[in-house]
Amino acid sequence: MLIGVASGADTESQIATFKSHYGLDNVVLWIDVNKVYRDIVEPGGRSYPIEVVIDRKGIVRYIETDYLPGQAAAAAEAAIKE
Amino acid sequence: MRKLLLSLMMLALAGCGGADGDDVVPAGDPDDNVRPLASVGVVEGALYADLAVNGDLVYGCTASHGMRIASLGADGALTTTVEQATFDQAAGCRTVSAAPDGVVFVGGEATGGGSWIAQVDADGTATNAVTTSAGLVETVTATETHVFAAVGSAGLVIFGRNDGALAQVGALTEGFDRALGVAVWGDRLLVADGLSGVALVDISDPTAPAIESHFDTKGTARRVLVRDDLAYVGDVGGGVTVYDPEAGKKIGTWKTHGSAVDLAFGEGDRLLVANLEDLCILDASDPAELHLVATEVLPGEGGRAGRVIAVRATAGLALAAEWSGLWTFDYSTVASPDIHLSRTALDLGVVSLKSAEALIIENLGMSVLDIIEVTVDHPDFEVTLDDDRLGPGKKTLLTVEFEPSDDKPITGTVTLTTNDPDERTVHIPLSANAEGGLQVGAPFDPTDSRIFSQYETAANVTVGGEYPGKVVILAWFGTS
Repeated sequence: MLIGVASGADTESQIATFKSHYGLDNVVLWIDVNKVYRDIVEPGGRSYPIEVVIDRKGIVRYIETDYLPGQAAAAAEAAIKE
Repeated sequence: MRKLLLSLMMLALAGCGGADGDDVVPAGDPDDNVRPLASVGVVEGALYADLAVNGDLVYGCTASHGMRIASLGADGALTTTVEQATFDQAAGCRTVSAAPDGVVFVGGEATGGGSWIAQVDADGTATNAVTTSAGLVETVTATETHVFAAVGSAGLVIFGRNDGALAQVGALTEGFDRALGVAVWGDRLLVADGLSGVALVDISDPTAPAIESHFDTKGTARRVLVRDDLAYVGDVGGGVTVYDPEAGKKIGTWKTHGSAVDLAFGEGDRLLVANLEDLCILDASDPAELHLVATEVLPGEGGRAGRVIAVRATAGLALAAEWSGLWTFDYSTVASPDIHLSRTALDLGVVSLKSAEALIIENLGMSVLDIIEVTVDHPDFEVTLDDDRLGPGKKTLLTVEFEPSDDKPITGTVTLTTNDPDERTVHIPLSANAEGGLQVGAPFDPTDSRIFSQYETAANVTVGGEYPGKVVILAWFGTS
């Protein structure tokens, strides 16, 4: 399950434009209005964008702020096969 | 960012999860301006989405596990009468509303898509169901003649009650951002319309509803109530704002510390707010000067933070839906102190030099709040309290200074001992140099406290709540 998480600092019209512009109609979008990123991104000195892969048991299997093509997908596929 | 999202779009993966909540009476010695009386749980694996009260029955809706019905005693006691009413048209319901004549209506996602609306009886039987291919129903509001369904970006659908033969009579699909809540105002509706604020809709002819105008609100308008020709609007992440709807003029506001996701008028000019983080009681005797008089944090299931998502009032009692329970409260004013903190925890961040963070302590009660003792359990933290005796409505500042002795992560707790009858001891978690953040191998959200807002519906969601047992990729992004 892929979820796009928009920054809570973005307006919903910005998000709508972004979604439309990039053809993301089939991607589930959530908005980080409660600033969840604060205890995920900031304490680790990380920054946007950030990808997190969570396995079936709710355990983080991958977390990375530098976009590394295919890495998150590979981590997810590995988690699915278990 | 585009590459990041698109590269992941090919993945869509699977799985699933779900003990029955027993009727319980909360422990403690509640004796402030809002006092929990009783609660009843939810079907295992479900989360409450809405509630309604009709006479002595309380209806609790879950989006995917049917409905629980409980009887309400005069003392606020709740006794389950229907464990799990299920419906032919769908697994559950998203919204439930009692009409002034005592007929209860439910709405939810229909099995084949679109939405279904039905009358529901005291035994949980749904009758006179109708479906609409329009979007996903957010709320239903019923009068003695019609049922108005807010269906998100699909706008508004109007059903005639027709003495039980529920049938669609009108719809308005254009001109809305996201219709999330409806209030009836004479021959007009006020529709909480997400980012577009509040829409005034002429329903003098229910078969041909028409938008007259919009007025802007702060944030995402989710719920609206009308009293004395004033609109009280609950905004996600914003708070409660009062408007003259005719002029679109702001009259007063209360800025939330949480998210005002549902509203209800109570007795004695009280406005009840489901504030996500807690239940809030506002004094609305002067609409221009809304002010907080009480808060109550509810326990969540399994140690997670409670999430208050719906609120109603009846016969001097408040009813609230937390995700895992329906609760009753006495909110009559009593002469006791009531402590309220502007922040429930302090993180001093990653620092190498002395730094400080502060929070405000407020007395929401009707008698003097004494902060009898302040302690902290780690020598690197130093706590200062400006005033240890607060009259009703008064505030003071609690400051925590941190001077690191090394660069290791540190946690601690400030403990306040007070004369608040139901919060005699208050703990404030402290952290500093917590450089690690979330790491591989750690649970993403062991307490279900990492809550997001669903883009399409503005519903509050968590990873575990929405996708239990599934592999999930979260891809954070900013649009600019």
